[in-house]
Amino acid sequence: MTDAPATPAKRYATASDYVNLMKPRIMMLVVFTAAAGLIAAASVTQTPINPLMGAIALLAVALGSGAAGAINMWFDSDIDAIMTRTSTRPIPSGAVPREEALAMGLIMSGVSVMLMWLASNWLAAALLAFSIFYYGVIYTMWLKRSTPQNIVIGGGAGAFPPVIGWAAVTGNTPLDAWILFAIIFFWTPPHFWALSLLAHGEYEKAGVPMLPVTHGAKATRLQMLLYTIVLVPLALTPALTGLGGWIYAVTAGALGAVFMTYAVRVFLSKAGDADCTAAEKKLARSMFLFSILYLFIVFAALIIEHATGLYFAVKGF
Amino acid sequence: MTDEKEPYAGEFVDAPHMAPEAIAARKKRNVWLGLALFGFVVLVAVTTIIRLSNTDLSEGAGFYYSNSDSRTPVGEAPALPPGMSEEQAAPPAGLAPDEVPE
Repeated sequence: MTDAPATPAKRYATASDYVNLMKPRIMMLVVFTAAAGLIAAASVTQTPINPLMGAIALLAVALGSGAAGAINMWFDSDIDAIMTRTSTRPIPSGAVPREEALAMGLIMSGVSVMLMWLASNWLAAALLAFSIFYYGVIYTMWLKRSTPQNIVIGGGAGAFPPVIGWAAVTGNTPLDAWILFAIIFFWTPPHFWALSLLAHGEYEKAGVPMLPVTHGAKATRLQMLLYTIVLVPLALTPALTGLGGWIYAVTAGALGAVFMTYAVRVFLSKAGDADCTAAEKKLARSMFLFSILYLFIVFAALIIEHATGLYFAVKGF
Repeated sequence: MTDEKEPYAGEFVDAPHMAPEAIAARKKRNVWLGLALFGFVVLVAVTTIIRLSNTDLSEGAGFYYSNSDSRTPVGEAPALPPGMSEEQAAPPAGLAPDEVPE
Protein backbone atom coordinates (compact mmCIF):
# COMPACT_ATOMS: atom_id res chain seq x y z
CA MET A 1 0.00 0.00 0.00
CA THR A 2 1.30 3.39 -0.90
CA ASP A 3 0.56 6.70 0.69
CA ALA A 4 -1.41 9.21 -1.34
CA PRO A 5 0.78 12.04 -2.61
CA ALA A 6 0.76 14.96 -0.25
CA THR A 7 -1.24 17.91 -1.54
CA PRO A 8 0.86 21.06 -1.38
CA ALA A 9 -0.46 23.50 1.19
CA LYS A 10 -2.38 26.36 -0.40
CA ARG A 11 -0.42 29.59 -0.34
CA TYR A 12 -1.98 32.87 0.63
CA ALA A 13 -0.40 35.99 -0.74
CA THR A 14 1.58 38.05 1.71
CA ALA A 15 2.99 41.53 1.28
CA SER A 16 6.35 40.01 0.34
CA ASP A 17 4.74 38.22 -2.61
CA TYR A 18 3.66 41.59 -3.97
CA VAL A 19 7.13 42.97 -3.33
CA ASN A 20 8.62 40.02 -5.25
CA LEU A 21 6.24 40.79 -8.09
CA MET A 22 8.16 44.06 -8.50
CA LYS A 23 11.50 42.28 -9.03
CA PRO A 24 13.25 44.05 -6.14
CA ARG A 25 16.80 43.07 -7.13
CA ILE A 26 16.44 44.62 -10.57
CA MET A 27 14.75 47.59 -8.94
CA MET A 28 17.80 48.23 -6.74
CA LEU A 29 20.14 48.46 -9.74
CA VAL A 30 17.62 50.63 -11.60
CA VAL A 31 17.32 53.06 -8.69
CA PHE A 32 21.08 53.12 -8.22
CA THR A 33 21.79 54.01 -11.86
CA ALA A 34 19.00 56.61 -11.81
CA ALA A 35 20.56 58.13 -8.70
CA ALA A 36 23.91 58.30 -10.51
CA GLY A 37 22.30 60.20 -13.38
CA LEU A 38 20.50 62.53 -11.00
CA ILE A 39 23.53 63.33 -8.86
CA ALA A 40 25.86 63.74 -11.85
CA ALA A 41 23.38 66.06 -13.59
CA ALA A 42 23.04 68.27 -10.52
CA SER A 43 26.82 68.48 -10.17
CA VAL A 44 27.80 68.89 -13.83
CA THR A 45 25.15 71.49 -14.67
CA GLN A 46 25.28 73.16 -11.25
CA THR A 47 21.50 72.83 -11.04
CA PRO A 48 20.29 72.68 -7.45
CA ILE A 49 17.63 70.10 -6.66
CA ASN A 50 15.58 69.85 -3.52
CA PRO A 51 16.85 66.65 -1.82
CA LEU A 52 13.32 65.57 -0.94
CA MET A 53 12.15 66.09 -4.52
CA GLY A 54 15.18 64.09 -5.71
CA ALA A 55 14.27 61.26 -3.34
CA ILE A 56 10.66 61.30 -4.55
CA ALA A 57 11.86 61.22 -8.17
CA LEU A 58 13.95 58.13 -7.33
CA LEU A 59 10.97 56.58 -5.59
CA ALA A 60 8.98 57.17 -8.78
CA VAL A 61 11.70 55.36 -10.75
CA ALA A 62 11.53 52.47 -8.26
CA LEU A 63 7.75 52.27 -8.58
CA GLY A 64 8.00 52.43 -12.36
CA SER A 65 10.54 49.60 -12.33
CA GLY A 66 8.26 47.59 -10.04
CA ALA A 67 5.28 48.26 -12.29
CA ALA A 68 7.16 47.02 -15.34
CA GLY A 69 8.25 43.93 -13.37
CA ALA A 70 4.65 43.15 -12.38
CA ILE A 71 3.46 43.50 -15.99
CA ASN A 72 6.31 41.24 -17.09
CA MET A 73 5.38 38.59 -14.51
CA TRP A 74 1.71 38.81 -15.52
CA PHE A 75 2.50 38.20 -19.18
CA ASP A 76 5.24 35.61 -18.63
CA SER A 77 3.48 33.55 -15.94
CA ASP A 78 3.05 30.63 -18.36
CA ILE A 79 6.77 30.31 -19.15
CA ASP A 80 7.76 31.15 -15.58
CA ALA A 81 5.83 28.05 -14.48
CA ILE A 82 7.88 25.89 -16.87
CA MET A 83 11.34 27.10 -15.84
CA THR A 84 12.71 25.89 -12.49
CA ARG A 85 14.44 29.20 -11.77
CA THR A 86 11.19 31.16 -12.06
CA SER A 87 8.61 28.60 -10.97
CA THR A 88 8.58 29.90 -7.39
CA ARG A 89 7.57 33.41 -8.47
CA PRO A 90 4.32 34.73 -6.96
CA ILE A 91 2.04 33.92 -9.92
CA PRO A 92 3.22 30.41 -10.90
CA SER A 93 3.40 29.44 -7.22
CA GLY A 94 -0.30 30.30 -6.92
CA ALA A 95 0.12 33.06 -4.34
CA VAL A 96 -0.98 35.97 -6.51
CA PRO A 97 -3.68 35.80 -9.22
CA ARG A 98 -2.57 36.96 -12.67
CA GLU A 99 -5.17 39.69 -12.95
CA GLU A 100 -4.03 41.17 -9.63
CA ALA A 101 -0.47 41.38 -10.92
CA LEU A 102 -1.68 43.17 -14.04
CA ALA A 103 -3.83 45.57 -12.05
CA MET A 104 -0.93 46.29 -9.72
CA GLY A 105 1.40 46.91 -12.66
CA LEU A 106 -0.99 49.29 -14.38
CA ILE A 107 -1.90 51.23 -11.23
CA MET A 108 1.73 51.55 -10.19
CA SER A 109 2.66 52.70 -13.70
CA GLY A 110 0.18 55.56 -13.44
CA VAL A 111 1.21 56.44 -9.89
CA SER A 112 4.93 56.42 -10.70
CA VAL A 113 4.59 58.63 -13.77
CA MET A 114 2.34 61.06 -11.90
CA LEU A 115 4.76 61.24 -8.97
CA MET A 116 7.67 61.83 -11.31
CA TRP A 117 5.82 64.66 -13.01
CA LEU A 118 4.95 66.23 -9.66
CA ALA A 119 8.48 65.90 -8.32
CA SER A 120 10.36 66.97 -11.46
CA ASN A 121 9.11 67.70 -14.97
CA TRP A 122 7.14 66.32 -17.92
CA LEU A 123 10.24 65.06 -19.78
CA ALA A 124 11.36 62.80 -16.92
CA ALA A 125 7.77 61.58 -16.50
CA ALA A 126 7.46 60.87 -20.24
CA LEU A 127 10.77 58.99 -20.28
CA LEU A 128 9.67 56.94 -17.28
CA ALA A 129 6.35 56.13 -18.98
CA PHE A 130 8.17 55.12 -22.15
CA SER A 131 10.65 52.92 -20.28
CA ILE A 132 7.77 51.08 -18.57
CA PHE A 133 6.13 50.59 -21.97
CA TYR A 134 9.48 49.50 -23.42
CA TYR A 135 9.96 46.76 -20.81
CA GLY A 136 6.35 45.73 -20.33
CA VAL A 137 5.25 45.74 -23.97
CA ILE A 138 8.16 46.04 -26.43
CA TYR A 139 10.47 43.61 -24.61
CA THR A 140 8.06 41.32 -22.75
CA MET A 141 5.25 41.02 -25.28
CA TRP A 142 6.95 41.57 -28.63
CA LEU A 143 10.64 40.68 -28.45
CA LYS A 144 11.19 38.08 -25.76
CA ARG A 145 9.43 35.22 -27.53
CA SER A 146 10.12 36.22 -31.09
CA THR A 147 13.82 37.01 -31.58
CA PRO A 148 17.22 35.97 -30.17
CA GLN A 149 18.04 39.69 -30.12
CA ASN A 150 15.38 40.08 -27.41
CA ILE A 151 17.70 41.12 -24.60
CA VAL A 152 19.86 43.28 -26.90
CA ILE A 153 16.98 45.50 -27.99
CA GLY A 154 15.14 45.00 -24.72
CA GLY A 155 18.24 46.15 -22.86
CA GLY A 156 17.22 49.68 -23.79
CA ALA A 157 14.50 49.51 -21.14
CA GLY A 158 17.04 48.96 -18.37
CA ALA A 159 19.31 51.66 -19.78
CA PHE A 160 16.83 54.49 -19.33
CA PRO A 161 17.13 55.12 -15.55
CA PRO A 162 20.23 57.39 -15.63
CA VAL A 163 18.66 59.39 -18.46
CA ILE A 164 15.47 59.74 -16.42
CA GLY A 165 17.49 60.81 -13.38
CA TRP A 166 19.33 63.40 -15.47
CA ALA A 167 16.13 64.73 -17.02
CA ALA A 168 14.53 64.98 -13.57
CA VAL A 169 17.15 67.56 -12.61
CA THR A 170 17.75 69.54 -15.79
CA GLY A 171 14.66 68.96 -17.91
CA ASN A 172 16.80 67.85 -20.86
CA THR A 173 18.95 64.91 -21.92
CA PRO A 174 22.43 65.91 -23.14
CA LEU A 175 25.14 63.65 -24.54
CA ASP A 176 26.46 62.71 -21.09
CA ALA A 177 23.08 61.22 -20.14
CA TRP A 178 23.02 59.15 -23.32
CA ILE A 179 26.57 57.92 -22.69
CA LEU A 180 25.32 56.46 -19.41
CA PHE A 181 22.43 54.95 -21.37
CA ALA A 182 24.88 53.38 -23.83
CA ILE A 183 27.04 51.90 -21.07
CA ILE A 184 24.08 49.98 -19.64
CA PHE A 185 22.82 49.10 -23.12
CA PHE A 186 26.11 47.45 -24.13
CA TRP A 187 26.56 45.92 -20.68
CA THR A 188 23.25 44.03 -20.84
CA PRO A 189 24.07 41.37 -23.51
CA PRO A 190 27.27 39.98 -21.93
CA HIS A 191 25.61 40.17 -18.51
CA PHE A 192 22.46 38.34 -19.50
CA TRP A 193 24.00 35.85 -21.92
CA ALA A 194 26.45 34.75 -19.20
CA LEU A 195 23.39 33.61 -17.27
CA SER A 196 21.63 32.14 -20.28
CA LEU A 197 24.71 30.03 -21.08
CA LEU A 198 23.96 28.23 -17.83
CA ALA A 199 20.18 28.12 -18.20
CA HIS A 200 19.69 27.65 -21.94
CA GLY A 201 18.06 24.26 -21.35
CA GLU A 202 15.36 25.97 -19.33
CA TYR A 203 14.79 28.61 -22.00
CA GLU A 204 14.60 25.90 -24.64
CA LYS A 205 12.02 24.02 -22.59
CA ALA A 206 9.93 27.20 -22.29
CA GLY A 207 10.30 28.04 -25.98
CA VAL A 208 12.14 31.32 -25.42
CA PRO A 209 14.55 31.96 -28.32
CA MET A 210 17.58 33.04 -26.33
CA LEU A 211 20.78 33.25 -28.35
CA PRO A 212 22.33 30.05 -26.90
CA VAL A 213 19.14 28.20 -27.85
CA THR A 214 18.89 29.48 -31.42
CA HIS A 215 22.56 29.95 -32.39
CA GLY A 216 24.41 27.78 -29.88
CA ALA A 217 26.82 28.48 -27.04
CA LYS A 218 29.83 29.21 -29.28
CA ALA A 219 28.07 32.03 -31.15
CA THR A 220 26.84 33.40 -27.83
CA ARG A 221 30.34 33.44 -26.33
CA LEU A 222 31.57 35.34 -29.41
CA GLN A 223 28.75 37.88 -29.13
CA MET A 224 29.54 38.34 -25.44
CA LEU A 225 33.15 39.08 -26.30
CA LEU A 226 32.20 41.56 -29.06
CA TYR A 227 29.81 43.47 -26.81
CA THR A 228 32.45 43.58 -24.08
CA ILE A 229 34.98 44.97 -26.58
CA VAL A 230 32.53 47.81 -27.26
CA LEU A 231 31.57 48.26 -23.61
CA VAL A 232 35.01 48.64 -22.01
CA PRO A 233 36.22 51.68 -24.02
CA LEU A 234 32.70 53.11 -24.04
CA ALA A 235 32.70 53.09 -20.24
CA LEU A 236 35.78 55.35 -20.35
CA THR A 237 34.16 58.06 -22.47
CA PRO A 238 32.67 59.91 -19.45
CA ALA A 239 36.28 60.74 -18.55
CA LEU A 240 36.70 62.31 -22.00
CA THR A 241 33.54 64.42 -21.86
CA GLY A 242 34.23 65.63 -18.33
CA LEU A 243 31.36 63.69 -16.79
CA GLY A 244 33.81 61.42 -14.98
CA GLY A 245 37.07 62.40 -13.31
CA TRP A 246 40.17 60.48 -12.30
CA ILE A 247 38.42 58.24 -9.79
CA TYR A 248 35.89 57.23 -12.40
CA ALA A 249 38.51 56.72 -15.11
CA VAL A 250 40.73 54.50 -12.97
CA THR A 251 37.76 52.50 -11.65
CA ALA A 252 36.17 51.98 -15.07
CA GLY A 253 39.56 51.15 -16.61
CA ALA A 254 40.55 48.58 -13.97
CA LEU A 255 37.14 46.92 -13.83
CA GLY A 256 36.92 47.00 -17.62
CA ALA A 257 40.19 45.07 -17.82
CA VAL A 258 38.78 42.41 -15.50
CA PHE A 259 35.52 42.29 -17.46
CA MET A 260 37.47 41.86 -20.69
CA THR A 261 39.51 39.07 -19.13
CA TYR A 262 36.32 37.26 -18.16
CA ALA A 263 34.89 37.71 -21.65
CA VAL A 264 38.05 36.32 -23.29
CA ARG A 265 38.20 33.37 -20.88
CA VAL A 266 34.54 32.54 -21.44
CA PHE A 267 35.03 32.87 -25.20
CA LEU A 268 37.91 30.41 -25.11
CA SER A 269 36.00 28.01 -22.87
CA LYS A 270 33.19 25.61 -23.70
CA ALA A 271 30.75 27.20 -21.26
CA GLY A 272 27.21 26.40 -22.34
CA ASP A 273 28.24 23.47 -24.54
CA ALA A 274 26.96 19.99 -23.77
CA ASP A 275 30.46 18.79 -22.85
CA CYS A 276 31.51 21.77 -20.76
CA THR A 277 33.16 21.16 -17.42
CA ALA A 278 31.97 22.29 -14.00
CA ALA A 279 34.83 24.79 -13.92
CA GLU A 280 33.65 26.32 -17.20
CA LYS A 281 30.11 26.59 -15.86
CA LYS A 282 31.53 28.26 -12.79
CA LEU A 283 33.45 30.66 -15.01
CA ALA A 284 30.27 31.76 -16.81
CA ARG A 285 28.54 32.19 -13.47
CA SER A 286 31.47 34.24 -12.14
CA MET A 287 31.25 36.49 -15.19
CA PHE A 288 27.53 36.98 -14.59
CA LEU A 289 28.12 37.93 -10.95
CA PHE A 290 31.09 40.14 -11.79
CA SER A 291 29.06 41.99 -14.42
CA ILE A 292 26.61 43.08 -11.71
CA LEU A 293 29.49 44.23 -9.54
CA TYR A 294 31.03 46.04 -12.52
CA LEU A 295 27.98 48.17 -13.24
CA PHE A 296 27.42 48.86 -9.57
CA ILE A 297 30.98 50.05 -8.91
CA VAL A 298 31.33 52.07 -12.13
CA PHE A 299 28.18 54.04 -11.30
CA ALA A 300 29.21 54.24 -7.63
CA ALA A 301 32.45 55.92 -8.74
CA LEU A 302 30.40 58.52 -10.59
CA ILE A 303 28.23 59.11 -7.54
CA ILE A 304 31.23 59.41 -5.21
CA GLU A 305 32.91 61.95 -7.47
CA HIS A 306 29.89 64.19 -7.84
CA ALA A 307 28.31 63.78 -4.40
CA THR A 308 31.43 64.20 -2.27
CA GLY A 309 33.40 66.78 -4.25
CA LEU A 310 36.15 64.28 -5.07
CA TYR A 311 35.93 65.09 -8.76
CA PHE A 312 39.33 65.67 -10.33
CA ALA A 313 39.06 66.29 -14.05
CA VAL A 314 41.20 64.24 -16.40
CA LYS A 315 43.49 66.93 -17.85
CA GLY A 316 43.79 67.32 -21.57
CA PHE A 317 40.11 66.82 -22.24
CA MET B 1 -42.24 33.55 10.31
CA THR B 2 -38.78 32.09 10.61
CA ASP B 3 -35.85 32.50 13.03
CA GLU B 4 -33.34 32.16 10.23
CA LYS B 5 -30.94 35.09 10.20
CA GLU B 6 -30.87 37.17 7.05
CA PRO B 7 -27.44 36.93 5.45
CA TYR B 8 -25.54 40.19 5.15
CA ALA B 9 -28.18 42.04 7.17
CA GLY B 10 -26.46 44.87 8.96
CA GLU B 11 -23.03 43.31 9.01
CA PHE B 12 -20.30 42.20 6.68
CA VAL B 13 -19.60 38.53 6.68
CA ASP B 14 -16.82 36.68 4.96
CA ALA B 15 -17.60 34.42 2.07
CA PRO B 16 -18.13 30.92 3.50
CA HIS B 17 -15.38 29.33 1.42
CA MET B 18 -12.60 31.51 2.84
CA ALA B 19 -10.25 29.76 5.26
CA PRO B 20 -9.17 31.63 8.40
CA GLU B 21 -5.64 31.78 7.00
CA ALA B 22 -6.96 33.42 3.85
CA ILE B 23 -8.88 36.00 5.85
CA ALA B 24 -5.81 36.76 7.97
CA ALA B 25 -3.66 37.14 4.85
CA ARG B 26 -6.26 39.41 3.30
CA LYS B 27 -6.32 41.59 6.41
CA LYS B 28 -2.55 41.94 6.32
CA ARG B 29 -2.64 42.85 2.65
CA ASN B 30 -5.30 45.44 3.31
CA VAL B 31 -3.18 47.04 6.02
CA TRP B 32 -0.24 47.30 3.61
CA LEU B 33 -2.51 48.65 0.90
CA GLY B 34 -3.85 51.25 3.30
CA LEU B 35 -0.33 52.28 4.28
CA ALA B 36 0.67 52.50 0.63
CA LEU B 37 -2.30 54.73 -0.16
CA PHE B 38 -1.55 56.91 2.85
CA GLY B 39 2.07 57.16 1.75
CA PHE B 40 0.98 58.19 -1.72
CA VAL B 41 -1.24 60.94 -0.33
CA VAL B 42 1.64 62.18 1.85
CA LEU B 43 4.01 62.21 -1.12
CA VAL B 44 1.60 64.19 -3.27
CA ALA B 45 1.07 66.64 -0.41
CA VAL B 46 4.82 67.02 0.16
CA THR B 47 5.59 67.61 -3.52
CA THR B 48 2.75 70.14 -3.73
CA ILE B 49 3.99 72.02 -0.67
CA ILE B 50 7.59 72.09 -1.93
CA ARG B 51 6.50 73.23 -5.37
CA LEU B 52 4.33 75.99 -3.96
CA SER B 53 7.05 77.11 -1.55
CA ASN B 54 9.44 77.39 -4.49
CA THR B 55 6.93 79.35 -6.55
CA ASP B 56 7.10 83.11 -6.91
CA LEU B 57 3.76 84.30 -5.62
CA SER B 58 4.65 87.97 -5.70
CA GLU B 59 2.88 90.54 -7.84
CA GLY B 60 4.13 90.46 -11.38
CA ALA B 61 4.91 86.75 -11.27
CA GLY B 62 2.27 86.18 -13.88
CA PHE B 63 0.04 83.76 -12.00
CA TYR B 64 -3.70 84.39 -11.92
CA TYR B 65 -3.64 84.55 -8.15
CA SER B 66 -0.91 87.15 -8.01
CA ASN B 67 -3.29 90.17 -8.28
CA SER B 68 -1.01 91.66 -10.85
CA ASP B 69 -3.15 91.31 -13.95
CA SER B 70 -4.23 94.14 -16.23
CA ARG B 71 -7.86 94.22 -15.17
CA THR B 72 -9.34 97.66 -14.48
CA PRO B 73 -8.64 98.76 -10.91
CA VAL B 74 -11.73 99.00 -8.72
CA GLY B 75 -13.24 102.53 -8.68
CA GLU B 76 -12.01 103.63 -12.09
CA ALA B 77 -14.28 103.83 -15.10
CA PRO B 78 -13.29 101.76 -18.09
CA ALA B 79 -12.04 103.47 -21.22
CA LEU B 80 -14.79 104.60 -23.59
CA PRO B 81 -15.25 102.84 -26.88
CA PRO B 82 -13.91 104.73 -29.93
CA GLY B 83 -16.29 107.50 -31.07
CA MET B 84 -18.29 107.74 -27.82
CA SER B 85 -18.31 111.06 -26.04
CA GLU B 86 -18.41 111.67 -22.29
CA GLU B 87 -21.98 113.04 -22.63
CA GLN B 88 -23.17 109.92 -24.41
CA ALA B 89 -21.65 107.72 -21.77
CA ALA B 90 -23.07 109.73 -18.85
CA PRO B 91 -26.11 108.35 -16.99
CA PRO B 92 -29.52 109.96 -17.64
CA ALA B 93 -30.02 113.29 -15.97
CA GLY B 94 -31.41 113.05 -12.45
CA LEU B 95 -30.37 109.42 -11.98
CA ALA B 96 -28.36 109.09 -8.83
CA PRO B 97 -26.12 106.03 -8.44
CA ASP B 98 -28.11 104.63 -5.52
CA GLU B 99 -31.54 105.33 -6.97
CA VAL B 100 -33.37 102.71 -8.93
CA PRO B 101 -35.97 104.03 -11.43
CA GLU B 102 -39.45 102.64 -10.95
